[in-house]
Amino acid sequence: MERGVCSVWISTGGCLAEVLQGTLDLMVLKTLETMGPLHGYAIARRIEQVSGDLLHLNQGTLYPALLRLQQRGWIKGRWGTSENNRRARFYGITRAGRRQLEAEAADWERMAAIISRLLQTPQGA
Amino acid sequence: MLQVRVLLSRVWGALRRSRLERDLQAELESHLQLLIEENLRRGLSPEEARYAALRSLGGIAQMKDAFRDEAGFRWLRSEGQDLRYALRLLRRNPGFTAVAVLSLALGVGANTAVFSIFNYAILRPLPVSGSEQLVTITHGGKTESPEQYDANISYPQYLDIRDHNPVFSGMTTFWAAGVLYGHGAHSRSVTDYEVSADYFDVIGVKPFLGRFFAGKEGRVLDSDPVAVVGYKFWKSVLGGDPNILGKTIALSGHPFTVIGVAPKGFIGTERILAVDLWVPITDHGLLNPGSDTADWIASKRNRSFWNVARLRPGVTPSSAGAWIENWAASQAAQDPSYRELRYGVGPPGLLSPAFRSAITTFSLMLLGVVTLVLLLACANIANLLLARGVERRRELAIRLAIGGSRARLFQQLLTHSLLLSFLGGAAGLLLALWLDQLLLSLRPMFALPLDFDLSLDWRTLSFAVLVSLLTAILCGLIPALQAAHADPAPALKSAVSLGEPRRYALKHLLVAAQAALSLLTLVAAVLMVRSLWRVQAAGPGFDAGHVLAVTFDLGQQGYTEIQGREFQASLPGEAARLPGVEAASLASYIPLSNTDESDTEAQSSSRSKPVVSIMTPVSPGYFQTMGIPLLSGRDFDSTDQENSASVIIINQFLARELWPGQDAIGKTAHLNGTPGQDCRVVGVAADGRYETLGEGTTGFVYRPATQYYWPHINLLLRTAGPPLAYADSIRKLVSELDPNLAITDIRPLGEFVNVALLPARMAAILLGSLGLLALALAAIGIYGVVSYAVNQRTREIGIRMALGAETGKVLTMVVRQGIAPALLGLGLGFAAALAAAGVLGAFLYGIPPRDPVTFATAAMLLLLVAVFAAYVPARRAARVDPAAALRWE
Repeated sequence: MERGVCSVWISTGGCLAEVLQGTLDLMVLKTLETMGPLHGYAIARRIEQVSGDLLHLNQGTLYPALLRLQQRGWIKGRWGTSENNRRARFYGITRAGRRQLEAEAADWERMAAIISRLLQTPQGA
Repeated sequence: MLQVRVLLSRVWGALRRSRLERDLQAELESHLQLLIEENLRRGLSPEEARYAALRSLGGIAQMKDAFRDEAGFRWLRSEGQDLRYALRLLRRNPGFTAVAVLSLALGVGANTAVFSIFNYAILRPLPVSGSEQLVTITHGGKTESPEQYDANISYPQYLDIRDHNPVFSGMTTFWAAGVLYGHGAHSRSVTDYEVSADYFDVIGVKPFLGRFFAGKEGRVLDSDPVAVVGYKFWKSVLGGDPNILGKTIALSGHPFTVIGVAPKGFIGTERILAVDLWVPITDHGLLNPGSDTADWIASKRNRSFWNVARLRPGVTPSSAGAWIENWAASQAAQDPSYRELRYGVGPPGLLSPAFRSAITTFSLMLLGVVTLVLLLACANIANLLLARGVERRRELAIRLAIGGSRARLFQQLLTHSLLLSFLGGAAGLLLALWLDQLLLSLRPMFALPLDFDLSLDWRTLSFAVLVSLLTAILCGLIPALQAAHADPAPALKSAVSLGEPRRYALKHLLVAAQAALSLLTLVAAVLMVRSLWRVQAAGPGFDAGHVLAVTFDLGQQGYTEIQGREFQASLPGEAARLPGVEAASLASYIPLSNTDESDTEAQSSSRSKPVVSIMTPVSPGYFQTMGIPLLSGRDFDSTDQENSASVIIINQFLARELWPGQDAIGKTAHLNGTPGQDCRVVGVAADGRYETLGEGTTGFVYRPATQYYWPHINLLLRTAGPPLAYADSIRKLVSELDPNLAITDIRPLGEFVNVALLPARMAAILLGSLGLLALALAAIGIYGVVSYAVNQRTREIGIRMALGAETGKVLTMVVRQGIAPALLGLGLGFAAALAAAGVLGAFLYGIPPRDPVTFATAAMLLLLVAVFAAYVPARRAARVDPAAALRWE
């Protein structure tokens, strides 16, 4: 990811994706797993929706991320027609992508558990 | 595994870039439309909707860049960009591009051309399999270095070594000669190898057609005469006849059966000698009538055979050399002549180590000089690039200021000079090929045919690429570093690129280097030119202007001695009767003709040590025909017959050696040989050059043709008009005298002199042109720098003149400061030339390498050119209008 370009803003200010690598990849994979094949706009919209509009996606950075995911074989793109008859590229998750999603989600959970435990440890207990 | 997948996708992406771009663009447009529609639904106006949509989408340009970086290879893309930019830059400045590419082409081309010759002669392996296993047995004097050894042995030596050695798996010996092919008027001279029976086996080639020598061929005298023809000979002279096997060809009038055709491209083991066919050594007598094969082979004194041996697997050349040395030592017990010689082994391919060293030294010297010229060209271009860098300071500063990385800038500038160098290199390669063709077409006709195969091979190509790369780095590295690491702030602040003219700026250093290199080249050039003058001034000692030489070989034609003598007695008289012929005579040996001569040793009672001299039979009138002054005594005449007293005419050198301080006429000299002879001196002729133009003087003995019969003879005619015009009438005369007699050669004597002059001429032309080129390049360099300095200092000059400085003073100041670095370089170059001049000593005639006149001339020349180059822009400075200059911004 290029430095200085933020993919995901937190609504209170600050850049989420700068701090945590691969967040965007994870979010895209999860979205596609849940919703099935979507085109770029829809993916962005969905992510913002699910976060309760707390996250604002710098939607342009989506496309390099989609390319990366394609290069690794985790998603596959196909041209099709959207709801309002526009030509758009639909991306769907692959089997390898599902496996990757499982692995990354597990990592995340572990990480989150460790950090929350760290933050909750009482002093001197 | 993942990395591989990503890598492959990237390669695919790099190849399908335009398709990817289009897809992305389509996706973005569709995405944008969807955003706009959503915004419209929310109730924004169409304008606001679009605006908001674009904001959501974010920085498209940056995103596209990030996309491209992921899609392909970043460095490839940036390099591609740089190349395109560099091409644009070059197109925008055609003048600079032309000058740069031309100078580089000349430098790289000259280097590559010289390298290709060196490559062919020394580096390329012989075109036979397992050529690293082949060696030749060499010998030389005790004080000589092995690089100066010769490689000729006698046949008995060959047999001895071949049969008693533990180090060679096979050994062959061979002899090269010219022989007459065909009959009568349609005959021509061809070159052949007379080889021992195992020649082809030892060297390791397979026949293209038929077979090689077998059974008795080459082992038993008087077996059926057979020949193996070379591929080229078979194609061109025998018409590529597929049924050639079994047919006969006439060599020296004898029928030889063709038993095989050698493979394409095989001309024997000696690189530059192109032979047409091979015959067994046992048929020597048939090819050379009057020579007894058995005697010729058995003679221990006849050391005219070359040799090639194949090492046994596992045996190194040094161990073979050691064995040979021991062998020679054991021979010395019975044969004292071995005591003066040392034996060893060397690489085959260039006739002898001595010849090989000569070629190596000459090519290396030439390579050194062309490298100097290339460095000069590089210095020029580096200076140009430096100047351009300063011109573009503003542009580069802006780039740095808006976020470009220095590394990227550096990459771009370096790409620019890389492109320049490769363009120059490609042009140089073409130039080199053309130069090689030119060299081949100038092939002189020596007594033995020469051949070069200068086609492009991987070594020459890699050399050209390497040289181009090095010049790119040399020219472009420092200017690129300077420009990329400049501080952008001062450049941005003022519109004019100011710069204090620093005293020891890089460009001054470059000019000094150029002056030094230029002086080195000039010294070499002037030395060669003066050497040529000396050689030409010395002259060959005879008047070659109006003499035609006609060559016969009566022995190969089948004449007996009696027939030959009759022919020789009558021919000059008949020829002299032709209209336009002022004088005619015979001689067996023509000076400077590069043919074999006969040697003898002459002794007198006043001097104990015999003087080795060249000896040749001539007919009466020789000295008049050749224009050689007879200093005292008389020419041969009709009183000198076969049975009258033995007489000789000697040259002045020999006369002084044998009878110092006395008159040689009437004295008797003893000529060693079998049998030895006492001869009375009847005349003394002026000295001349006999073998090469650069030699010291040797003794020369002329004998009457009636008293010393030799079947190989030349008829010399002094003609009123141009010699070749008389070729037809002489041919007619000869065919009247004997319709079957073949004339081996007709040419004007001047051609021999030209050929003898060729090495000196070539060296003078080559180095002279390089010297001029160096001078031009140095002049361009100095002009460029001074011109630039004048531009920089226009304001300062205007101020000076406004304050009252005279034009002349301004002029002097500019010129003086302009040539200061050149003077420094001149001094350095002078010292370097003094140190290095010894290298050229081997190539000079009659002039020492540290000749003061030469050095002075070269220095003066360079100084003049430097002053002139600085003067031209200085005049511009002097003409500056002070008022305009003060307003200069």
